[in-house]
Amino acid sequence: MEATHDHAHEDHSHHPTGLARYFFTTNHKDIGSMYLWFSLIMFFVGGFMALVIRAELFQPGIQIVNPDVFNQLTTIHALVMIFGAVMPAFVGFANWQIPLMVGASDMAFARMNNWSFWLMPPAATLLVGSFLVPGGAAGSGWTLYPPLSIQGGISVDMTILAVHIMGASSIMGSINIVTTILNMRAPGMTLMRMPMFVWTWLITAYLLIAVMPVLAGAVTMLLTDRHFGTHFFNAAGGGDPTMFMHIFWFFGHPEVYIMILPAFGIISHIIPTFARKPLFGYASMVYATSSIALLSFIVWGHHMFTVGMPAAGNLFFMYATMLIAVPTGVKVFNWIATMWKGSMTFETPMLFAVAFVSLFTIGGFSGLVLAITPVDITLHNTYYVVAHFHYVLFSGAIFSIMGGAYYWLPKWTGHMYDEKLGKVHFWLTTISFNITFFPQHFLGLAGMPRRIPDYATQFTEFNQISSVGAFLLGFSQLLFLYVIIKCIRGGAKAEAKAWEGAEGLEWTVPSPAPYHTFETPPAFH
Amino acid sequence: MSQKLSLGRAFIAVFWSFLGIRKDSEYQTDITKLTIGQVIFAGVVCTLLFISSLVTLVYFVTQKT
Repeated sequence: MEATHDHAHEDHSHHPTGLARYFFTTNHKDIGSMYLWFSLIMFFVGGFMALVIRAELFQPGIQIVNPDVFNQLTTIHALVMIFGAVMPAFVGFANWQIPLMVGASDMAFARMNNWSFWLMPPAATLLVGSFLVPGGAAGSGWTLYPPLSIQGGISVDMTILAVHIMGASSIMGSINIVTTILNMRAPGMTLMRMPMFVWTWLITAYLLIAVMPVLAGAVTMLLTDRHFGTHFFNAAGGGDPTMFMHIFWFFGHPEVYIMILPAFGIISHIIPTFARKPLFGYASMVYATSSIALLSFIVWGHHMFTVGMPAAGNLFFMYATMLIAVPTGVKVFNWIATMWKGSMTFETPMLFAVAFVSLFTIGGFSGLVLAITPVDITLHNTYYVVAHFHYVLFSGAIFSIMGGAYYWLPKWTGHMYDEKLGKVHFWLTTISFNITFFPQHFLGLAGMPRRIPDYATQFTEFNQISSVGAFLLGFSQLLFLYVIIKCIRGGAKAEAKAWEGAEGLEWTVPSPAPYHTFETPPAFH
Repeated sequence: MSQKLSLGRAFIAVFWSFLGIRKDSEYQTDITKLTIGQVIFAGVVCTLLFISSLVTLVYFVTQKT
């Protein structure tokens, strides 16, 4: 993969300065950076809430927050992390990398791109600000199940509005990404020659367009139930609260894949770079990603095994869910095969990628355990579920985001990050992550329910271990922030191709990437 | 005739995609012979077949003996 391109004419990096640059920018790199910073800020906001939760759970009894506030913290922690941290981070990567990877000058709808981003801060303000209104924030859990979400105060309306705004932002972002990928690729870059990150985002964008309106429909029905006398989910008025769960999880399960497919894409770039071998089974990866995306639409019922579906329904969702392990397993084996006999080095991005493969697989396996209906009836709503989805989302999605950030920081900033500090950050994060979340499997197996501020004394030791790990994990992330700031401010000069084994168009432009790139499409061989 | 052949090929490609594996030489032929329309059509049909086969399996499993 090589591009021939003249950069001599690209030194006119004129752009507005000061705040106006960021308010009015239509530049994909500026918008990408804003998404990434927004995501990092929300990661710390959500992380702070997690630490309050873990501090409360350090010992039995009520010490720090009352049960209502505890419920509000679990609800908003989840919404902030999902919609504020993980999804915007991937959109930030998409904004920075997709035009650079496909050889486009910018995103297809540059002005809409600006709007997609600037919808996010108001939505985040609504979510986080809802703690300040009478009654506090929504405490129904991030799933917003009725009747709790129908009974809540004005904060539930703020949450519904925030979800609507973030959904609109995601839909616009997705339309932008699909259009850029399908229409603005460099000549010669056929669909089946696209970098894996571009492929995974193309499929993710379709998933988003398919399911975000479903979520919008669900929360709109909640809103009309709350204020306009409808009874969609009110059993007393002939409605059905279970219907909300079906509609919500029809969105919710593909949402899980929305948060992991771009991670697969990032990992599929890091591993070949540091193993110095092409990705093993590119076609299989594309097929497996499409297959996972398709299957994601027919497994939502596995979130509802204890709701009282007929046995036939439970069995259908159990079989379908277990089958997802097949294409996911193909991906894991492909990554391992890529590393097999490679000339591997373990820079920070590669460490995160290897940890991703092993820890995400643990999360995948505990998912398989939960997919077995009779087992799930015991484990449903216990800490086993909390452990499972944190292995998928933290050591899955967030590890890939951190690995990707280290991987592309030289391209974004023009400097190499501090490798030693990066490695310290990696080891602190990985070890404390496991201290935090591995004991939660045991708590769940022993029967500790999730979303409770107080617990029986036999759960104390594992909770204490988990809380100590959580504080270590939380404070380790300050080191991540420091490494990023240090890298922006200076460091060894990064070459255009910052990593010896890196492949792709983004490595053909100088580091840092000029404000305008690929104004004439590069030739892609 | 060639249209029919490549539609059959699309079904085979989609079948392998459900497993997530495809032989490299076959895949190279796929990208030259198949159109996106054929693949989407085959994908939708295979998904419906997949769901029906799961429902049938569940039907037999839940039958009283």
